Amino acid sequence: MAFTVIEPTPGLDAKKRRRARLDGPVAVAVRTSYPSLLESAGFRDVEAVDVTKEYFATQRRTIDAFLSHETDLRSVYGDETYEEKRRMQEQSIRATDDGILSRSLYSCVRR
Amino acid sequence: MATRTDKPSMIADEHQRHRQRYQVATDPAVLAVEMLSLGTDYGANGHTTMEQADKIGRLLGLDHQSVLVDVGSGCGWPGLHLASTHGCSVISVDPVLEGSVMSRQRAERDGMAERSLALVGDGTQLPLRSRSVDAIVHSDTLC
Repeated sequence: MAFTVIEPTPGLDAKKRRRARLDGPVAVAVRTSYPSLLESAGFRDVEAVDVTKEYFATQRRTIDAFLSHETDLRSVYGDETYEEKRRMQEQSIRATDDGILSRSLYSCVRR
Repeated sequence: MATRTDKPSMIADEHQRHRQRYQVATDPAVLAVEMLSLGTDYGANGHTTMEQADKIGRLLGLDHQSVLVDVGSGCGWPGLHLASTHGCSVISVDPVLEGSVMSRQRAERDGMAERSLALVGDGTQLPLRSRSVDAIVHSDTLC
């Protein structure tokens, strides 16, 4: 199995974890680490690659694209949804830049 | 993707959010954003770029005999791309019917109808027999 996931950066204190949950995507919260979850679910050879820098770059490109297509996107989504998406994009990229949100690529094998 | 332990209303809200997204996923402006962000045009919702999808394909060791499951596949990204580049078969599973329909349409458009299957299902209860597939991918499905 291989998958990507956005998560609170491991080792954060409680206040920063709360911010990660608020500023990150829906369901970013996880009570334990993905490696321990995978191992308890019967997976072995769990490996993680930190792709946070790439995530930041992707978010930056998304924001730039949203701004350059603003008129069309407002027409598609409506003003309220467009502005909500933009607000969430800014929150998320700021949290990533502050080291609170991480994105990882996990791979593992079923026992 | 919502999990079985979530409240039913949260799951329903999340599914509704995805339905609304699928309705505009193929709009030219939305696809333009996706192309600039990820380098793809599937109607993808996550952050997995073309380069990362190709890395996932290598990690999974896919070949033409493999059966891959894409959990929370949405419009088919990255499962259909992986099937296309590695020659494997793919089962796309999404909890929202509209996502599965779009995934199926994309497979047909790409000439992959015979190597792909689109199902409505939940990652916590996949409609598949245990150990009946070779590889699993999910791209920003858990969050």
